[in-house]
Amino acid sequence: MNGQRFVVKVHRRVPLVVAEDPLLLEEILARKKAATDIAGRLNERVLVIRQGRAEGLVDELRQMGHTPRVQGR
Amino acid sequence: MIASSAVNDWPTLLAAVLSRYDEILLEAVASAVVRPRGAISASDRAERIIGAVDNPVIVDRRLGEIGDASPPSRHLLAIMAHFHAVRVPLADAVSLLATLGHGNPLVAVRCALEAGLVFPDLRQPGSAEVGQGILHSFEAWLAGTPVAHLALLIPPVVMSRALPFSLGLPDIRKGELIRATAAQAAFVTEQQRRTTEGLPLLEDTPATPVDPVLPLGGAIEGDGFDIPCRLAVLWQMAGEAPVRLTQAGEFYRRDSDRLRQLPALSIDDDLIAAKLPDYSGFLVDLARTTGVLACQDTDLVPGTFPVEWQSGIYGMLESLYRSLFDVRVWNPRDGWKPEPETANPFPSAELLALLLLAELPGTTWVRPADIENWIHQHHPYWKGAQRPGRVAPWLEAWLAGVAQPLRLVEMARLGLSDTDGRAVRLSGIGRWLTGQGNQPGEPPNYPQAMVVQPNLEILVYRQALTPLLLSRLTQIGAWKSLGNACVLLLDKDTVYRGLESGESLEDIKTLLENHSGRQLPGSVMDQLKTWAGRRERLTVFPAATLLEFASNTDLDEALSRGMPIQRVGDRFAVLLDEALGYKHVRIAGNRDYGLPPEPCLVVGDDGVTLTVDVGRSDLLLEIELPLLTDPVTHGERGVVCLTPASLQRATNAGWTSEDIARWFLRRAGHNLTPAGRALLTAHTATGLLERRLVLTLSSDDVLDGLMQWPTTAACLGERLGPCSVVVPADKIEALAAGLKQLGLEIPINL
Repeated sequence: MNGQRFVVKVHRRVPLVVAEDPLLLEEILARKKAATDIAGRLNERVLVIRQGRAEGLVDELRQMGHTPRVQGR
Repeated sequence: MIASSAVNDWPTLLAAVLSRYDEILLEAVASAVVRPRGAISASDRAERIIGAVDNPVIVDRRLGEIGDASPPSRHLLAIMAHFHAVRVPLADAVSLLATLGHGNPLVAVRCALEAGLVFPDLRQPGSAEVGQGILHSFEAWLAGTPVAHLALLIPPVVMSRALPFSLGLPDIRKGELIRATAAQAAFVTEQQRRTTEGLPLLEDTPATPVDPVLPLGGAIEGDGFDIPCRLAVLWQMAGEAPVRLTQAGEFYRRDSDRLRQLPALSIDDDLIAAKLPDYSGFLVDLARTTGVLACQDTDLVPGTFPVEWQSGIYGMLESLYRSLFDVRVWNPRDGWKPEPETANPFPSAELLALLLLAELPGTTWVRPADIENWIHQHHPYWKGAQRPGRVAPWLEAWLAGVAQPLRLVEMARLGLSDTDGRAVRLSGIGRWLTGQGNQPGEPPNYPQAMVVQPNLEILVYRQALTPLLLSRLTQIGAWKSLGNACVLLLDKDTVYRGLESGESLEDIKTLLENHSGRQLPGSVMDQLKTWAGRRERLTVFPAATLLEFASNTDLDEALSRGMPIQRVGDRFAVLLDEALGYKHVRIAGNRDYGLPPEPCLVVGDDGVTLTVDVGRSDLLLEIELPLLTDPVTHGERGVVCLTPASLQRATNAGWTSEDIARWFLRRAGHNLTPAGRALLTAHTATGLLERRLVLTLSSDDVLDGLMQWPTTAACLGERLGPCSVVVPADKIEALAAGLKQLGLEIPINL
């Protein structure tokens, strides 16, 4: 692969939550209101948010006492 | 809500305005301002006009020419320049021209428009977009209604070159009836005309000089931070919950109470507070015009502090001076009064008051009432007004509550207490902003501005405050009290807000340590680290660009090459820098999640094998497939299969049959296959597995006959197909006899 370009598929405008600890995602999914904003779990540390629900989820995370870093707003 | 005077991209705005000019009008304006030797091609006219009004040499020449040809128009340009804003409401410009004594101000405006030195603001009210339609003549535009929506645009270069210029305002110490130069000239001309025509002369009462003013004690001048600090508090208040307005522009009761009950938004001087209604309304309107509060429909939410605040106190005061005359919902006589269809005369009167003060020698004091009397005698809104409500005094309260805190004026007591009245004069900053003097020298710089206490309170000394420090502290703490020493409190939410605004933990630490002159107390540093650390635990990307690598190894190598990505899975990484990120990759597929999903599964003949179209698939499919399908071969990506076990797994996860059918339709582009339906619904069916005797004929027509002929019909059971029918075991002999009668002998194979 040295010097070669990596073949990738680009997913644009994907709303995501990335957690340091998978337990945080369990907590989010267990919260009914937050779970409705989630489209699915990509892996143990990443959730995909439903389109147009990112702002609402951030508010809900703050309600839960988290202080999420919002990147690329 | 209301168009702001802020214009970020002047050439683009002017180009948009000129694009609405009729061809003939554009040609006339281009000729007037550019003065070409030959003709300008139609396509170049707008560009040449934009270039000409941006050229100081041409602008100076045109200003000289218009000063000779139409002095009222030259006055108009100077008046507009005094607003320090690119956009000036037409009503204000016209009112001030009339105050100066110009009998037909609209003619002066039209001349300036035709000369190409000012332009009509053709943006839709409350919008940044220029409307549709063609402007054929300035007269038609000037006759438009409502007049409150009409405004003039002055090019920045014209604004900067139009001053200094004397407006001919009088020395108001000579009395309220003293006229401006233009008004006096018009009066003399009229008297001469009347003398010539033998008409009775106009009555002319000589002005009576006002009483001399001798203030006691020294001048009181603000530090310039009183109002900015209050704006900062308002910004924080709007961050907790937006300030909401009704459709009519009034505050909701809850927000009105919040504004009234916050001590930091009330004026400290009780005497002024009693005379200046709705001070918090003024602050809200000023915050809106400066951009500290931003409009979102009818909500006012935290905006951004003006960039001018970064250039020091004078930049901040100039930006506030500019915004001051855009405060139009609030006025110093009636308070918060939303009347979007009506022109507000107070901003023009406020500017006039400052310009009248600017005509006086620097050390001269006057009574605010003497200025106000002159305004009431000459400003068209008050001139001749009798109604007590209209002529109620307001200027002293405005000077003391607004102009003095902004360092535009100095005030002094006329007696031992404030109740004895006050005198006013323009400050050095006021003289600079009204074009009568230079910018004052830089204020002293105090390195130690604050004390950070272990209980997370910060004591901020006002004399050491700078606009930039104020805006940064507002982001990371909550103002608890304002005074000579202000108190700011750090807490989880405010530090989080600071981090969200772009500050890092190191930035906050450096800011507090540099301005306090010592290391942060250990408890404060520990708390800041804890709060910042909590923020690192969860990251939300509202619209990430995610790269999906072919393998884990590829992603590892991309990271080792230093690609600007953040790993979020075995094969997935968030792209952190769009500009640099694509240097090392070849894009095999591109999926935009802002668009609706596309069908991306190809269904095999068996109805259950699904092949992923990698070019069109998306991330959600990555999530859905492991739940709804099983891999055909272990470890192979791209080919999966619906199985009873996989669908059972989905059902256990809460998917209904309808959900699965809808998913299949969305992903495969057609309805669920019979095999798929069987996997889903077979369990709801009933059945019986048994041995049966079946008569199979070579002709369906003959079987139709046997089913109808009573002799054989009684021996036949359920028809299974066109040529097959069930025969009950006890009817075999009767059936054979019947068939024999028809001449049909069939072998029996039991």
